[in-house]
Amino acid sequence: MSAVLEFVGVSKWYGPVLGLRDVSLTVGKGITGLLGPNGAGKSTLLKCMTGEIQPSRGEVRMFGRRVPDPEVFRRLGYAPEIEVFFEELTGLEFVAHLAELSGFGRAEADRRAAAVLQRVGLESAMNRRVSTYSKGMRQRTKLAQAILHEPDVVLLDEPMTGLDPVGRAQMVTLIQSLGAEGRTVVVSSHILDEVEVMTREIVVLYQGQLLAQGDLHAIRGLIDRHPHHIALRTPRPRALAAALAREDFVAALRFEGDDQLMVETRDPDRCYSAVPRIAKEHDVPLLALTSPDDNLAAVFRYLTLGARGGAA
Amino acid sequence: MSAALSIARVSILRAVRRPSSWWLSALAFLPALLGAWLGAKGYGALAVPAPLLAYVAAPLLVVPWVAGVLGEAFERRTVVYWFVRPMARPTALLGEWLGAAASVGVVLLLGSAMLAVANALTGNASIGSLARLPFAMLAHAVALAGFSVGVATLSPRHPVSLAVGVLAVTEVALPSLWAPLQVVSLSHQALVLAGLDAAPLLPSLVGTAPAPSVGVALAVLAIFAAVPLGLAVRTVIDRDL
Repeated sequence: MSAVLEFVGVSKWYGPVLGLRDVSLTVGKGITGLLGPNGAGKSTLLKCMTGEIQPSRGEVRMFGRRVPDPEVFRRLGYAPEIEVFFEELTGLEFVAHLAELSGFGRAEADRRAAAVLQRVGLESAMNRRVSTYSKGMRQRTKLAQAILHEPDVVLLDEPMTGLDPVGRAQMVTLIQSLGAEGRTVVVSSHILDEVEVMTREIVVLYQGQLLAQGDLHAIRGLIDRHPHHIALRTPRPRALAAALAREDFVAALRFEGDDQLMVETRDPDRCYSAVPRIAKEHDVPLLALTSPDDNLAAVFRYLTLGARGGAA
Repeated sequence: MSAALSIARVSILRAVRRPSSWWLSALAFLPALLGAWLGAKGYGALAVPAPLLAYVAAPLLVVPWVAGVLGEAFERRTVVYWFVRPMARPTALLGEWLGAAASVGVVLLLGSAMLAVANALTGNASIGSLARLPFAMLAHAVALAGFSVGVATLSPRHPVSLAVGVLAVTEVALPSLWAPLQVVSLSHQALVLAGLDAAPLLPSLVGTAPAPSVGVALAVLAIFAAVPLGLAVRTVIDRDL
């Protein structure tokens, strides 16, 4: 992966508060999900990329140039987390104004603004003042101003916030289309499922530290070295527990409510194949077999528990 | 430069669409009404209204209009949309200053022109005041706008109170302590430019006021705008947002 974005030993302190701690990472083309709970340092990382804030130590480079750099800004689009714009302007005026600041003439700026607002689905509202926009419309406007100049790098800070399910699906499609166009897209989020839909390339931050970076499935594989949880729903959980207790792949069993048995295993593959067979042999109806670990949330939970020094 | 002009244009557009701008603009026309009334009663139309315009109405109009709005843009981080564009950050300040100076300048130009007309119509006219007062107030507005942009950048959290505090010191406190310090008063110098009696707002405790000088007045107005703007430019280049 050739690096478009590069962090080299970046730390950021806000007075005594640590925002980022010695973060080194590279980001290449395609979509990268920037994950972490609130306060993990996602926005700080993005702000370092845009030059909004200067690292206390280390450096951020984009296309090999140290940020901030006007040349970098020609190739960078950024949708910040803030919800406010210049509220007195219409959506079209706002985006066209920023197009002018990106170096386009008035006529071209207007044309691009209209086109990009159409692309994000705001064609019918572009002549309304942004003060009347809903949260979802604001998210789209932010995306529009970020991509109006067709940048090579697009940074999106929590772009799903405030969107309804339909809006989220549309936003995911838009972001995926940006990645498919060969751009570098960094999407920060704490809504893990949505990141998982968009990309397998993730960066996980926790308390300002880089916990993991790489392919989601590779990171997910880390979990298999640690106890994996599988939830079994059955009307006879005690009978099923008695049958499973003899199996060597079962590390622990726990009852949850009257109809659920939680199995902890270090060999999830064997467990998945054996449990239905064992249930059938003991004539125990198995209504559902799910794993709370089978999503990005689990990866995240595992990694952050590790960072806290907790048992994973 | 085109980026600065774009920001200036948008600044004017936003000001026109903000209801508070229209309320604040009324301040610029109250001295004219007072002047017309005083003139009709046989008093001088300028004696009280002109200092009122320079010392009170202009700062009360310009500071919230410019410093309040720009400070809010920093506080709410809307300036980020400018600062991730391929332009130097000070360009945004220049654009804001140009836009603010143009918008408040027009309002004060019109308000003071009406005052000059009221003065002319009530028999106390002088061609000099008719021409000089509006342009002196325009210069006053430009300087106050620069000062306000600078203060808002340096102290975005409390720009209005800081600006009012600084003006209270330069316009009232210092000149009333020692008359030669009238020289630092922006409003005093605006009245000097207008060719009007530029007595301090409050009588000075000691000292003698310096002789009015148009050159000094222009220099003070320029310094008043340039110093905060210069500090703001230095600050904004590498400040975390």
